[in-house]
Amino acid sequence: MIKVVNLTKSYRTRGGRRYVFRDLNLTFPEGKNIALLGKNGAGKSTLMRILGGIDYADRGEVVTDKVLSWPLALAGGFQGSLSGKDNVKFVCRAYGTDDELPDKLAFVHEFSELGDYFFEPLKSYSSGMRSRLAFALSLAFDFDVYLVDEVTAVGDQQFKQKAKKAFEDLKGKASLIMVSHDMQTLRTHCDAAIYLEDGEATFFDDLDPAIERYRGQGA
Amino acid sequence: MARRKRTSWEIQRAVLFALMMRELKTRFGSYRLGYLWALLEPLSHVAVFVIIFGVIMERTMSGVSYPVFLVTGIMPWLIFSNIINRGMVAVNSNQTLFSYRQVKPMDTIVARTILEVLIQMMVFALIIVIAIWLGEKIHIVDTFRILVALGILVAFSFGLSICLCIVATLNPEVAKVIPMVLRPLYFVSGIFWSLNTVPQEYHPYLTWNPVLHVIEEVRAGFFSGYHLAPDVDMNYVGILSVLAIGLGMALYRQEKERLVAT
Repeated sequence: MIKVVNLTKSYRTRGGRRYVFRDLNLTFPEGKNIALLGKNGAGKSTLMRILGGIDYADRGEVVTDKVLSWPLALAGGFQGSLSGKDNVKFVCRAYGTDDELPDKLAFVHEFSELGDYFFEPLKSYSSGMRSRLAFALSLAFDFDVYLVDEVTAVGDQQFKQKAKKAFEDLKGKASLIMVSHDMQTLRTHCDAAIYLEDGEATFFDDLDPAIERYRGQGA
Repeated sequence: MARRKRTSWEIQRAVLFALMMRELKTRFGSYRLGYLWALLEPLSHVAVFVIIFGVIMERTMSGVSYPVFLVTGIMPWLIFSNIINRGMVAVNSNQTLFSYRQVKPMDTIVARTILEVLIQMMVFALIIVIAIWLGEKIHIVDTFRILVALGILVAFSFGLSICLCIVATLNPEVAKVIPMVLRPLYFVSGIFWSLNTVPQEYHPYLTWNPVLHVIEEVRAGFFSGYHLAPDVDMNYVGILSVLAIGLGMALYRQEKERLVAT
């Protein structure tokens, strides 16, 4: 279970302080794949970043006994001048899994289907290849919860199928928290939703009413 | 996840190691001579100055070989300036890595400092070996004294680089000014001359510079009978180091959230 307790987050803008959340309280139930819905600027990505431990809240905290992934976004987290392999090495080392390094490298190499590109600098990758690498890398770690931010275009059709299957295989072992503006993607992966609006969060046990509400907002 | 929770020290160590390996790879990995560049870069720097000042200008010092004298000035300078120059941009050039929660801005500065110290100390040792091989008579008087002086220099450089890194990251214009300010420092740090050869009346204009104190102190530990100017004061550098690290830590506490670009 992940609990967000009295979370307040604001940004300094030229027009003064703008609050994304004020004393937000929220519980992510266990074992459900949850879609985060909301208009642009509703705080979906901010919430993901705070859950992922890479952004700070002004007040409040995230309480959990789970191991959360980094927020999986398409581009971030890689160094362009280094090869795919060296980028993977860095993450494995930072996560303190040096002893399993060969296994993890082999897994990512295989799963990402990058072939020889695995040994080429990241800057020579297409965006599809980048996201395949990012996706494969995250699967190399046994996270309890995967934070997936807008990964709608994970490679081509065939890789999408593979990604879908990989997430299905995780059922029971790990769950997802997913941000996407593509309802098809959310329908494929999620079975519950949290709707964010004006700093308030509403939990929906079922995806459809949440999508209704999202559409109703004319977004 | 089945694996046990790591202690914060284990995480810290793993992150620093990962950053250092990555840094080595990024800086030297793509060249044919590879890691050798880590040594060749500062070696060539030293060689050029030794040739210009030591051989061509044939400057001499009583009882001290001028090329070796130069080396004892250049190496502390390289430690100082490399920590500053690399540390200053550490946060900006590693922005992508902050998507991993273990990696904090401070880690990138610490990793670069450690790496720089390791590289430059290796170079220093290597140069001494080369010099002996070339027939220089080197007898180091007090190795411990040298190491203490360099240790204090590292502390000072580290503290200053935290301050500068935070200021430069938050204000890119300052990042352009800092190297301009640092460059003249090169000429007033006693790399090419010894403080005791400078008339006493000019000392107050020079002794505010902590790098000068360190270089003089290193030479006092290096050469027997080195004429150490009496106004060289390592306590002064020590106090500055504590202040720089203190100020750096305070700034970091205040600003660490803004260092990670959102």
